Amino acid sequence: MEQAPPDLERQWQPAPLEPLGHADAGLQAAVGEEAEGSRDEVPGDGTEHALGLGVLMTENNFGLKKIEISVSEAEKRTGRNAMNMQETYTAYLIETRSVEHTDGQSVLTDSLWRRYSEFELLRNYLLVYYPHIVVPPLPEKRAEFVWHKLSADNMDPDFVERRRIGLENFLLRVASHPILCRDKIFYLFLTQEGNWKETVNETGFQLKADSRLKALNATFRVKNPDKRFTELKHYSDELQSVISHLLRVRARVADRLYGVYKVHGNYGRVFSEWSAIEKEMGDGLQSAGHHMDVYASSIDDILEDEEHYADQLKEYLFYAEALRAVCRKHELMQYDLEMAAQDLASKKQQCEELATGTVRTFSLKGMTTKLFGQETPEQREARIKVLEEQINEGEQQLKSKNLEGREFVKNAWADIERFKEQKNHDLKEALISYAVMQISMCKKGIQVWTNAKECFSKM
Amino acid sequence: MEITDRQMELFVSGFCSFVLALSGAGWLLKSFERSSFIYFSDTGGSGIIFKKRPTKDCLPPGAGADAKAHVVVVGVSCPDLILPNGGTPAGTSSPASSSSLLNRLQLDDDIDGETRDLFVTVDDPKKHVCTMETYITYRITTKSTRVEFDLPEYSVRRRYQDFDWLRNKLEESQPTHLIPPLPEKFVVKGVVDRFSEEFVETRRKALDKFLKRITDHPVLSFNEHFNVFLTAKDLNAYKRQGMALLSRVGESVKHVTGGYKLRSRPLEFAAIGDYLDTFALKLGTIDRIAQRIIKEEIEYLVELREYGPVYSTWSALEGELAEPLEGVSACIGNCSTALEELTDDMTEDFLPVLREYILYSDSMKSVLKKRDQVQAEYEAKLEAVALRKEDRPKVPADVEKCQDRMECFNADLKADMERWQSNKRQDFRQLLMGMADKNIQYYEKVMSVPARPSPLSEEARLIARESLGQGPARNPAAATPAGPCPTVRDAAPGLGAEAPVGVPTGHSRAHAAHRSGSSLLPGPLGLAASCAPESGGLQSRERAGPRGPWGLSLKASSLRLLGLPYVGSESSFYSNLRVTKEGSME
Repeated sequence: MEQAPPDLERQWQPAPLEPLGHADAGLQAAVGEEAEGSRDEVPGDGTEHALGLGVLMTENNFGLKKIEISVSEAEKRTGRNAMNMQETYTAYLIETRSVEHTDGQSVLTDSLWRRYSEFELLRNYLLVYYPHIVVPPLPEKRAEFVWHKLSADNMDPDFVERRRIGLENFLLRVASHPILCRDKIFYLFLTQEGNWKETVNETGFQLKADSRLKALNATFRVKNPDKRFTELKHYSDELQSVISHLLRVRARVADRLYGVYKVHGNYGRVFSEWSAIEKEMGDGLQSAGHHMDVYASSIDDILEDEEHYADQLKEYLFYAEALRAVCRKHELMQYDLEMAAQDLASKKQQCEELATGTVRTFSLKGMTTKLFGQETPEQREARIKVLEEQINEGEQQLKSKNLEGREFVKNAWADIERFKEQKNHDLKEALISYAVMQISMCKKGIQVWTNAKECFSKM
Repeated sequence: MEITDRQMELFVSGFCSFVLALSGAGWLLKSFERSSFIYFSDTGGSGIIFKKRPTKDCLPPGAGADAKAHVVVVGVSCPDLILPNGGTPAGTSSPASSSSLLNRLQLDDDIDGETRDLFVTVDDPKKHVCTMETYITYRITTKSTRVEFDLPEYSVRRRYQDFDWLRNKLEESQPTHLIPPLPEKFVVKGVVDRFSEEFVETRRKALDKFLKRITDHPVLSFNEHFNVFLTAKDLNAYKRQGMALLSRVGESVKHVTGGYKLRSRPLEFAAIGDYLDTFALKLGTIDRIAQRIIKEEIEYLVELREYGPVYSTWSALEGELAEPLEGVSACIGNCSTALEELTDDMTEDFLPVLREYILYSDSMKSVLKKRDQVQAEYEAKLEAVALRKEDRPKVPADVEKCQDRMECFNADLKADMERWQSNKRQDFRQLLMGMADKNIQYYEKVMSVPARPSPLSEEARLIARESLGQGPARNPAAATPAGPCPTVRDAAPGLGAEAPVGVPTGHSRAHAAHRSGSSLLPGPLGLAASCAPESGGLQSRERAGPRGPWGLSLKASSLRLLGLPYVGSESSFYSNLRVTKEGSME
C-alpha cells in the first residue's frame, strides 16, 4: 500500500499504518546507565541515545521510574470483533520491569497482551498530541519489499517474528524519546491492560485530529511556507522514494543471489551421484558435493541477516512519512495563521469603511446600502463596535497563533535535529553492519570453495 | 569377411610406395619399439595380432602377403605390430609391468612435456569470404623432431571441414581406437553467430584440444592422415586421392557392420558401457547446472548494476551519510565487475571442457558398438563352425582371424579407456579446481576495496612495484598527474621512516615511502596504512593488502571506505589500529 512513490493520494493515507523495521535486536538488554541522558531535551550524541533505548523514564504518581520494556512473545488468537464476526489476529506480550536504580536489580515484572491495532491507536494518539515530534513508525502492516522466499502472509511465523521485533523497537524508540516517554497514555499502554482503549478515546484525540482535506488544502494555499520545512518535506519525499527503490532492488538482488547459491546445491547432488561410478575421483567428488550443499544452504543465513538490514532501512522509509507529517502540521498552522491574518485585515477594512462611510470596493454590502437606504447612525455604531471587538479578538488570536507557530517551529526543529542525529547514527551503523555482513559472506564463500578445492585436488 | 590376395596386394603396394617416401630404418625401428612396449601387455600375448592398421583387417599368419609385407605395412601404418611367435611375443616376458611403466611415463610426458616430440597448436583464426561461402580457417603450427616430418616445423591453415575429414579418416583407419571428439558443428542452443569472436575463440580452443589429444596418443599421433593433415600444403588434393582407397575400405567396413546379434558383452565392457551411460548423464546434468548458474549470475549482475547507483542517488541527498553511502555504492560496483569476470571465466573455461567430455562419451560409445560388432561376427562364425564340427575338426583360419581381430580390438579399447580415464581424472581435477579458484578469486575481489577512480593509485602501485623490483625508474612527471602528485610526496615523510637519506627528488621519496610501506605490510603498520585517512599514496598499499592478514585488513579498509571508526567484536585488532593510526598521524 505504500510502495508507490509519494503522490497526493499518499498524503491522504492515514498515518497509523506507518510500520517500521527494527533496530538492533536485543535492545532490551541494554540497561543503560545513560538513561538519565535520554531525559534531556536532545541527547548529546547518538550513542548515549541508543544505549538508553531499553529504559523508559516515566513520571507518574510515584515519580520517575526506570522500566525495561520488551515484546517477548507473539500469539495467534481468535476472537470476535465489534461486528461479532470471527477474526484471527496476533497478540503480542509486552513485558515491563521496573529497575530500581539503587541496587540495579529489576523487580515487578508486569506483562500484558496487546494487538497490532492497539499499537496503531497508540501511535495515532501520539501523532495528534505531539504534532511537532517525529513519531517513531510502526512496523509494516503487511510484508513489503520481500523477496520470493519470504511469505507475505500476515500469519507467517517469520513475519510475525519480524513484526514482534519491530513493535518492540517501536516501544523502545518511544520510551527513549525525551518527550514521548513522559506520556501518560503511553505509560498506561504498557501497564494497564483493561480500559486502556477507553482512556485513549476519552482524551478525545480524534476530535483534535486535523482533517486530511484541510491539510491538503493548506498544502496548496499556504502563501509563505517556511523554507526549512519546504526543504525538509522535499527531502522526506526523496528519501522515501530512494529508500523504497533501494528496498525493491535489494529484494530482487536477494532473489537472484538466492538463486545463484541454490543452483550450486544441485552440484552437491550430481557430484555425489557421479562419485558412485568413479574409482579414484569418487571420494573427492563425494566430499566436494557435501561442500556444495553447505554452500547452497549458507545463503539462508546470509539472507536472513540481510533481512535485518532491510528492516532497518524500512524503519527509515516509514520515518520519512513521519517527517512529512510534521511538515504537514507546520503547513496547516502556517495556513491557519495566514487565514487569521487575512480575516483580521478584512475586518479592519470593513471597520474603516463603516467609520469613514466610504466604500472602496464594490461589495454586496454596498449594494444593499444603496438599495435599502442608509443605516441609522446607531446601527452603524453598534456594528462598528462589534467589528472592533472581533478585531481585538482576532488580533489576540493572531498573536497567540503566531506564538504557537513559533513555539511549534522551535520544538519541531529541535526534534527534527534530534531525529537527524538519530538517523545518521542508525544508518551508519546499519551500513557498517551491512558491510560486515557482506564481508562475512565473502569469507564464508572463500571457506567453502577452499574446502571444495581441497577435495578436488585429491581427485 | 574375406579379403582376397588381390586386394591385399593392392593395399600393400599402395603403402609400400608411401613408406618409401617417408620411412627410414630408424623411424621404423623406433615406432616398432614404441608400439611393442605399449601394447603387448594389453593383448596378453595371445595370438597374432595386427593393430592400428589403416587397412582394417587382420592377416592370418603366413597368409598371402608374407612376412616382409607385414613389416612394411607395420612400418608405414602402424607402430604397434605384435609379431606372431606362437602365442607369447618375444621380449615381453613381463608385459604388464613394462606397459604400466610406459603408461606412467606417458602420463609424465603429459605433465612435464620434456620428452614429447610433437607439438601442435591451433591459433590465429581468420575469416574467409568467398562468393559461395564464408568460413573460418585456423593456423596449425606443428613442431616435431619425429623423422616422419621432413621439416622441423610446419604451418598450415585448416577449416572446420578439414578437422571433420581428419576425424572421419581416423575413425576409419583406427576403428579400434577412441578418437577424441570435435566440437559440435553447430551450436545447439539458440542462434549463435558463427563468426562472432567468442564463438570462434571457443571453437579454436576446442580444436586445439582435439589436436593435442591426438598428438598425445601413442597410436593416433602416428596416423598418416594426421601427418598429412598437419603438413600438406593442399589437403584437398590429398582428400581426392584418398577417395579411391576409401571406397574399397568402405566395402569391408560395410561387410563388418552387417547385422549380427551379440550374445553377451563381456563383463568389463558391459561395465564400461554402463559407466559411460551414467557418466554422460551426469555430465549433462552438470552442464545444465553450470549454464543455469551462469544465467542466474547474469541476472544477479543486472540487478546489482541497478542496486549500486541507488546508493549513489541516496548519497546525493545526505550530508553526513554521503560518504558511507557512496562507499557502499562503490563496493557494489566492484562486486559486479568481479561477478562479470566470474561468469566470463566460467563460460569460456568451464563449459567447453564439459561439452568435450560429453562428446567424448559419445565417441566412446560408438567404439564400444564397433567392438560389439566384431565380437558378434566372431561369435557367429564360431557358431557356424560348431555346426560343422564333425566335418572339420580344425578351426578354420578365418574364425581364428576373427578372434584375433576381436582380441586386438578389446586390447586397444582397454588401453584407450585407461588413457581416457586418467586424462579425464586429470582434466576434471584441473577443471573443478579451476572453478573453485575462480569462485575464491571472485569473493576476494568482492572483499577488496574498489579502486577509486584515481589514476594516481594505479601509478603509485606501478612505482612501488618498480622500486621493489629495482626496475627502471620512471619519469615522475609523466608517471603522476600533476594535481594529486603532492599527496604522494606528502605521504612519504609520514611513513617513510626508512627512506634513504639525501634523496634528491620527490619521486624517489615516493619510491622510498612505497618501499617502506610495502615492507611493513605484514605487520600492524601495514594495516594501519590501509585504514589511514585517505591519501593517494596510501592506496597502493591497500591494493597490495591481500599479502597481509588480508581478511582483516580488507575489513578495515572497507570500513574506512565507509568513513567510520569501528567498534566491534574484533576490538583488539581495531584498538591496535587506532594506536598505530595515531602514531602515523604524528
